[in-house]
Amino acid sequence: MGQGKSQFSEEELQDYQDLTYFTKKEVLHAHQKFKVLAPEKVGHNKNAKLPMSKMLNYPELNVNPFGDRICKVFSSSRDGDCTFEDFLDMMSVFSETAPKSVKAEHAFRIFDFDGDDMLGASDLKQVIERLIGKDNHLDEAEMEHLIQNILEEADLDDDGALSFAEFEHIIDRSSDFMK
Amino acid sequence: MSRYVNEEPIPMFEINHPEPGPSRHSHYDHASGDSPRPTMVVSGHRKFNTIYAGPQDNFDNHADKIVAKMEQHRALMEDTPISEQLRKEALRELPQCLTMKRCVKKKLSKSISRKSQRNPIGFWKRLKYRLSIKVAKTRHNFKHFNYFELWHGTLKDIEGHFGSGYASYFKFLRWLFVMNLLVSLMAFSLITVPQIIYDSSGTNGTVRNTRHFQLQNIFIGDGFFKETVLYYGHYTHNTIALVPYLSFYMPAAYFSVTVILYLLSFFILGVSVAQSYRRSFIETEGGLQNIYANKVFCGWDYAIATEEAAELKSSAIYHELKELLSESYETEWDRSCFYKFWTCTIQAVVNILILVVLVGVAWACWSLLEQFSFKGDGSVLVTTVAVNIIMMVFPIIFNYISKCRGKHPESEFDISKHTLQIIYNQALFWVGFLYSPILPALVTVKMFIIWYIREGCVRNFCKPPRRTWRAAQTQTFFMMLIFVTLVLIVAGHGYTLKSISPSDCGTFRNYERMYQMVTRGVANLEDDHLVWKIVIYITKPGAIALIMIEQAFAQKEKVKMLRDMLVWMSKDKKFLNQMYTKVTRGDVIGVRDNRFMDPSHILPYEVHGYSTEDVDSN
Repeated sequence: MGQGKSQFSEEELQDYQDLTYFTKKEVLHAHQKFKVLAPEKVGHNKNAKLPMSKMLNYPELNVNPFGDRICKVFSSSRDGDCTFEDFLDMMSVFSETAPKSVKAEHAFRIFDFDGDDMLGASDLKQVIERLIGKDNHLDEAEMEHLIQNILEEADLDDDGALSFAEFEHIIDRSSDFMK
Repeated sequence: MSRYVNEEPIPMFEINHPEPGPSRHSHYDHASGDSPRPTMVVSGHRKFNTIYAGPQDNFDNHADKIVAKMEQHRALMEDTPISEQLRKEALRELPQCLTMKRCVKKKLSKSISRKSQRNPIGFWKRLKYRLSIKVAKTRHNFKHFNYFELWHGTLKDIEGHFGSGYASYFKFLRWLFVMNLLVSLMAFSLITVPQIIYDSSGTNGTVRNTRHFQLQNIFIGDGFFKETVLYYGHYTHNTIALVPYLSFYMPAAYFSVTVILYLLSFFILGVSVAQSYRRSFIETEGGLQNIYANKVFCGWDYAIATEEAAELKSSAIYHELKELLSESYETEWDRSCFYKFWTCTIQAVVNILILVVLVGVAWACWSLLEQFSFKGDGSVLVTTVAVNIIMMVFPIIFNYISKCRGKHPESEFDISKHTLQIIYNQALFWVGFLYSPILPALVTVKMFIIWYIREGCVRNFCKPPRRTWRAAQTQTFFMMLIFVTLVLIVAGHGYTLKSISPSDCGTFRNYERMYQMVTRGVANLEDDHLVWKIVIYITKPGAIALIMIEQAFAQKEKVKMLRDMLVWMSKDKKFLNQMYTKVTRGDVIGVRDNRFMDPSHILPYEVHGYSTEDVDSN
C-alpha cells in the first residue's frame, strides 16, 4: 500500500474519493488491480491507457458476456481503451454503494449495441444471444416470441423499442440488479 | 441520492454534448429551475453519446457548459460544507467519465471561491455547518459499520467461482458472526471478568471448586463445570470491589447487561428485517411483474470471474428462459379446473402431513426431556442424541416428499439447509445466553470454525449452482425467520424474569423474582406501590396485545397506501414518458403551453422530424 500511495498525490486521492463511491483505500486497491493487467506500462504512467485486449484480461470482464461493451462504454475515448480513471469509474459504478439510477444509466448504454439511445429489437436480440452463451441456441420463433414478451412488458408507449425511461422503470422494480 | 444532508434528492443533470454529425436527437435540460431547494426531477431523459476523440478545446468547452448548467442552482453554489456535499453527490451521479468530472470539479471550485470572496460566511455559521456535517458523517459511518474487510478475499473468491447465491450464505454467516462477537465481548468483559476477579481475590465467601474434573463432564457440562463461570449458578450476589472505592453490584450488572444485549439484538434485527422487506417486496411490487425483462436485464451475475461459472450461468439463464417460454405455451389441460383442484389437494395433504410430523417430534422431545433430565448423569444425553438424529433424518424425508410434489430440491451446496442450521445455532445462543454468560463466546468460536469448514466444503466438493438463486427475496425470508425466533425467545425469557423464582444459587438468589432486581434494587419500588401497580396493569399481555394489534393495522394501512402511491407514481411516469416520446418524435407540433413540462424547458417547436439545434442557447 505504501508504494501505491506514493504514486498519487493527496489531492488526486481526495478527488477520486469525492467523485466515486470508493474510499481512498479502495481507490488504491483498484489501482493495484489495474496494475496487474499491464505492470510495465502502469509502472511508468499511473494513468496509462490500456488497450481493450489488456482490459479484457481482468477476470470479471473476461467471462462477462458484455465485457467488450462495458469497456467501450466506460472508455473516455469510446473505443474500448481505458485509462485508470475509466477503470476506477467502472469499478465504482459496479460497486455495491452506487445507487440503482447510476447503474441503470450505464446498463442502458451497455445494452444499446447500435448506439441509437433506444433498445430496439436488434439490440435485445444481441443481448439475449450473448446472455445464453455461444453453445446454446434459441431458434427464430422462440427469439421472436421472447422479444415480443419483453416489449409487451416494458414498452409503455408501443413504439417497438425501449427508451431509457422505460428501461429505468423496469430496473427500479427489480431487487436483484447488478450486484 | 444525498446521503449526508437530510436525505434530500438532488437534481439530475442533463448534459448536452457537442456533436459533429447531423441528425441526432436534441437534448432537453431538466434542471428544475432556480428554486433554492433541490427537487427531484423525472429522471431518464438522458442522452449520453459523448465523444472525446476530438481536440482538447472540445473537452474544455464541454466542461464549461456543464459548469454553467450547475451554476444555475443556488443551493449548489454556496460556500458551505452542506453545499459541498450536494456538489459531490451531483458530480458522482453525472453520467460522464472521471476525467471530465475532475475538470468540472476544478472549474466549480474556482467559480465558487470567486463568488465567496464577495460575500463570505460568518465564523459561527461555518462552525455550525461543520458540526452538522461531522454529526451526519458519524451517523452514516455507524450505520454502515465497516466489517466488510473481514474475510473479504474469501468472499470475492467464492463469488467469482460460484456466483452470488452461495456468497449470500457466507455474508449472512459473517454478519451473525460479527454480531455474536460483539455480544460475547461485552458479556465477557462486563460479567465474567468481574466474577473471575472476585474469585481470585479470595475474599470471604468464595467457594473453591470442590469438584474434580472428569472427562465425561465435557459432554454433559455437569460436575466440574457447575462451579465455574460457565453457569449462572456460580455468579455471586454480592457487591464486588473491583477497584478501591468503586463497587460493582453483580446482580445489577448481570441483569442489565443481558437485558440490554437482548434488546439491542432485537432492535438491530428488527431494523434489518424492515429494510430488507422494503427493498425486496414493497419497492418491487404494485402492478405488473416484469418476468422476461427482469430475467434478461437483471439476469447476469456480475461477480462471476471464472469460465466454468460463467458457462453455468449462461446455461442457467438459457434454461430458465426456455422454461418461461414453454410455460406461456401451456395447454388446455394445464389450466383446467380439475388440474388446479388436484394440485391444491395434494399440497394441502402434504402440508398437513408435515405439520403432524412436526407436532409428533415436538411431543417426543418434550416427553424425553421430562423423563430423563433430572436424574443422574448420562441419561441427559438421550435427549440430545435424539434431537440430533431427528435433525439429520427428517430433512431427508421432507426433501423426498417435496420431490414427489414435483419441486426440485436444491442441488449442490444446499443454501437453505445450511442457512437454517445457522439460524438454529443462533436460537441456541439466545436461549442459553441468559443462563450462561460464556455461551456467546463458545458459539462465536463455533461459528468461526463453521466458516472455514463450509468454505473448504464449497471449494472442494461443490459445483456452481445450476439454477438462479433469488438472493433478495430469500434473504428477507431468512431474516424474518431469525427475527421471529428472537421474538419468541425474548418472550420466553420475559416470562422467566417475571414469573419464575430464581434458585438458591446464582446472582439473583436474594430475590423472589428476577425483575425485582430492578424494582427493589434500583427503583426501590415495593409490590404494592402505586406506580408499580400501574406498570403491571399496562404490561399485562392483554393490554400489550391490544396496542400491538392496533399498531399492526395502522402499519398495514400505511404500507397499502405507500404501495398505491408507488403504483400511481409509475402510472404518472408512464404517462409522462409517453408524452415525452411523442414530443421528441415531433408528433406534437408546437407545444407552447407547458402544462406537462417544466416551464424552464426549451422545447423545439419544429414540425419536421428531429432537431439538431443545440439547446444550450438558454
